[in-house]
Amino acid sequence: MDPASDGQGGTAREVMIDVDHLTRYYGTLPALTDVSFRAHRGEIVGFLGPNGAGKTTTMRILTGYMPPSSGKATVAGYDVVDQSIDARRAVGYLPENTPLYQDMTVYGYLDFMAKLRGVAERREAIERVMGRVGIDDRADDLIGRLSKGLRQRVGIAQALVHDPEVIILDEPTIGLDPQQIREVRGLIRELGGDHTIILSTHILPEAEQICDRVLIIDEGEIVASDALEQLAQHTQSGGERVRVRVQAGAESDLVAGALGAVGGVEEVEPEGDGAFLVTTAAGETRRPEIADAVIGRGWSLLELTPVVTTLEDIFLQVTAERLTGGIGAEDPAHAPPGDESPPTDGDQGDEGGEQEEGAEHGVGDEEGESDA
Amino acid sequence: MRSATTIWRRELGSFFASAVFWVLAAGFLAFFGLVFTGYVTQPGVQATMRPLIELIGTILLFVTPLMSMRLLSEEQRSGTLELLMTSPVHDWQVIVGKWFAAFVALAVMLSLTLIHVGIMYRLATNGMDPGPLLTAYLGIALLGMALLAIGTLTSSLTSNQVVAAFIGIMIVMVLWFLPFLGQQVFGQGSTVGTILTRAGLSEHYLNFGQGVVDTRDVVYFITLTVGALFLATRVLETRRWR
Repeated sequence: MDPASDGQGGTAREVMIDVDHLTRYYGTLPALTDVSFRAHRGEIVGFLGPNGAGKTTTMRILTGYMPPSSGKATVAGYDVVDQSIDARRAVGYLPENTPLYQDMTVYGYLDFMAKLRGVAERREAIERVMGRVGIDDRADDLIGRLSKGLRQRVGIAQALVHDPEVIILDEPTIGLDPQQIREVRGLIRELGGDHTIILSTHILPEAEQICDRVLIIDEGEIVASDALEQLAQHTQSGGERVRVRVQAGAESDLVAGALGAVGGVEEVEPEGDGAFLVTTAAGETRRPEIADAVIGRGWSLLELTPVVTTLEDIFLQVTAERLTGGIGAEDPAHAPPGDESPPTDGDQGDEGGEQEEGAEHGVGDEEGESDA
Repeated sequence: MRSATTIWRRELGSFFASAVFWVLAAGFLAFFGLVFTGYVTQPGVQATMRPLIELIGTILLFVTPLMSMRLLSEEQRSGTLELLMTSPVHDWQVIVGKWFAAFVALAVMLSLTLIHVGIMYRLATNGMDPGPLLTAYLGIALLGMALLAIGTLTSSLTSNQVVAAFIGIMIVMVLWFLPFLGQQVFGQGSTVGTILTRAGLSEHYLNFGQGVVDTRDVVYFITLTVGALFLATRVLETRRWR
């Protein structure tokens, strides 16, 4: 579904969430400092950041759970403080850890939530969302007896039951097994287009797969906000990075020297085991020249792979920039100290189930290595 | 109002699904039946509802905080309160809905004591005056309303049910024995003694056992109920600012 085609004639898309200089203190502790952003109809926006960065606080303000200390936010045109009830009606919310009434049946619970939100045709609405999240056969089951994955679906179903314009999901895939994670992600992608979705995650590949746009939040501030492509370009100012692997036996220094001599190559980093990470000047690829340089000297070329900048690279760089102060202070190819492996091509999900589709929505125009 | 209705209906279902309610109801009726038998079968004593009314009152001091402890504490503990407070519902609707559910559950429990009343009616040789009986039940209802409102308030204060029940029992005990305290400590007829007597639960409640409905007593219980529910709403509101 093309989000640009619904209603607005494809030009300026409707702003569904408008957050303007939000600040929130817990006591004297700032949890959120001067946060501003917008989300348009049909957009899927990811909040990405470490735990405690302010993702949940932002969501709680948008859902009307707590007011901001200062600043203004509107959801579907309603102010979250002055028109709180109207704003809440336009939002479907799944809080962290999916709190549900354990002693209710799935249908009873969804009926309760639908009534609270003033849904007119409740039966139809409930059957629709149960079908959508795949729990149609669970209507009479007690929620307390459901598996974690099914409970998560019930949680998502209640967020959808009143067909809200805005859906806010706090860590929707946490605690699920890889199969369930994939299902929930697929569901969220489906929902985008009709609904404006905000979801939070600290799993980088997740944001990469699902979101149109990512806001990186750290210590209560938005440190980066853009479409993934833009973020990648910003980070990849050094140009293309290529991993070159040469048959063992060749002298490492010699190879490094030969690679460095290729026109346009700016940096060569040995990675050990005959592999080198080559960074070329911005704009164009030097892969043919690199291949020629290796083969021309009689070495066997085992690998020549462009390294795709992942959200993980971006995230690490952006947070590192904050630490060291200023863009460009840190070589983008280097992760901050403490990260044991250099960022590579998206196969390094931080959870077991992340790996299958790691590079699918990878930034840049080329795929990394296919699945390991 | 519709949202409050939705909330109390759900909450009532939750009551009937919980073991706590049935244990409380069974305990209450067993205790009540025991004492009732003692009164009615005692020879030479006039069969009357009055001691029983007093008894029900004292039992309610313990039963109602145990009924209301779950109302908001459990939702705070499990996190479901967040979904409730982000639904298009006013905070007062949440409070009133929950309190009313507890009141209906209490009414169901108390209606079972009508069995005893029926027995007494059969046993009474000279017939029974229905007046005092009606006022007695009105008094019980008003007392239950106020006690449950106080329990709702204490439940809003903490995510720990036991703490909510304990604070609730403490508060209603103090309120109940306020007249006794006033008269013993400050002396009957003294200004403070009179004020404490008027402020206490027991005096207002026991008046209903005389077969008389005094507007002051009715106003007292309604004021207490509304006040406690208002405070509970404010507590819920301040949660948003924390």
